Amino acid sequence: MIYGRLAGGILLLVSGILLAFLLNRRLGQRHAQAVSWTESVRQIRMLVDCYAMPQGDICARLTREQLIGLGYAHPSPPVSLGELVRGTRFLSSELQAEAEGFVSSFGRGYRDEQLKECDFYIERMQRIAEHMAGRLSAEKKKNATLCVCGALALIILLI
Amino acid sequence: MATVIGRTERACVPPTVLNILPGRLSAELRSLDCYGIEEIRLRRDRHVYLTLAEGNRRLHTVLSGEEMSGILTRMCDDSLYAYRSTVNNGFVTLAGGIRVGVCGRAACEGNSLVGIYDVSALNIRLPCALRTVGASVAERLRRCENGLLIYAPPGVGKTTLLRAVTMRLSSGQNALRVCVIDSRGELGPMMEGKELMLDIFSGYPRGLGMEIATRTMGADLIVCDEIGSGEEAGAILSMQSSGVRLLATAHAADVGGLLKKPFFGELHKAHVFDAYVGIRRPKGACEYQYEITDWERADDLWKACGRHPSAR
Repeated sequence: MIYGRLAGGILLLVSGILLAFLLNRRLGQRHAQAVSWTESVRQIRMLVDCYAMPQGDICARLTREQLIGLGYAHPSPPVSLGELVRGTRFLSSELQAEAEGFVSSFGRGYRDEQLKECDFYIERMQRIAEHMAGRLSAEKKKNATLCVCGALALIILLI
Repeated sequence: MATVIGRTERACVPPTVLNILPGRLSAELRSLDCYGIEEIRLRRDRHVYLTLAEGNRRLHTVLSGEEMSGILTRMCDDSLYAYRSTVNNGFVTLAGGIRVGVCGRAACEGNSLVGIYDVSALNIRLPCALRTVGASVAERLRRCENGLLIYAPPGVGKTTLLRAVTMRLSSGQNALRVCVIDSRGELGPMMEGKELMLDIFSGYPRGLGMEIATRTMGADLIVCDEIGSGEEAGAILSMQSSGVRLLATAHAADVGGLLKKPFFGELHKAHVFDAYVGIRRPKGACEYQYEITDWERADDLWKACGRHPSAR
């Protein structure tokens, strides 16, 4: 009987730790995605500025690693930026909104307007990334504390 | 007179065009049972019209300004910035050599056009690739020491004839080394065939393309559509002095009207062209006819209209 309770307690504790680990990993991924999107829009700006590269060619230049970093989940590469955004998963809601705003207006203006749009969204995405970076450590501690304490509370209640 | 193009040889609307049009317009075009569509004319807040050999046909669809802008963006692969120079020159070329004329509100800086907004009209010209025409024109050019100019008013069939003659001259036993200066990208895509001895300069300005083709590609013949700008004259004369012949097209109703333009008068004096080929389509007819005027006859016509330098 006592061994059973001990095993159950350990299981609950490990679950709590695992949950904290997964939540913190998701936080880290979201921050990395925000950084990836900022860098990618910067790269797109350069391709538009220097080569007036059409959208399809821009997408063709994105590597598999870049696509994964942007949260793109489909096995086949996107042929447009709209398809890229539609294929992303697990972006934070604010980053998702900025990405959708960026692609909805992309390609509808001439070079100067396009570069200004890119600058606008680079700034906004960078702000999101910086905000996430500033809160990352505190959020991770909070998740770890809540999950472990929650597990301990369950152990006390049930065992 | 010889027949150039018959009516039934034009196909219906290609998928490249249907895919960029709004769904209801594509559906209406698919439901039509007509061949021989030469142009699809789109205008903001007005009915869509088709240009056929026998005349114009009105469709039910009326496009809004937003739909027109959407069509232009899709024509530019959702990357309008990448097509600015061609849009500012009034056209976009789709895959397959389909040229679309663009009209709207211009944004200017000084005398330069920096952009077109509020697209008000688009003219989609469906090309026609025929290898069965132009035999006598090609034969005449082979016998010429100098070049040949094809002239006609807009929309008659110059470019179609030019393509056909070019393909004839660049293939077969006595194929010429032909360089095509395809400034608008509408000649090259329709000239298919592994046997063709063709070098295509796609997107090059005409004068620059001619210079490069003469200097670096060892051309026997240079082909160019719609010449008429002053900056090309120098390149053409330089090309001629290098012994390279020119096959070109120009807008004009007749030889007299053609030679009245100073640009062509200068080329005529320099004997750049041995002959002028005029195309015409009698009103309501489904066939085209052309006639060849040699240099001497053209010179007499020019003198008769009093514009010839010797007539002053």
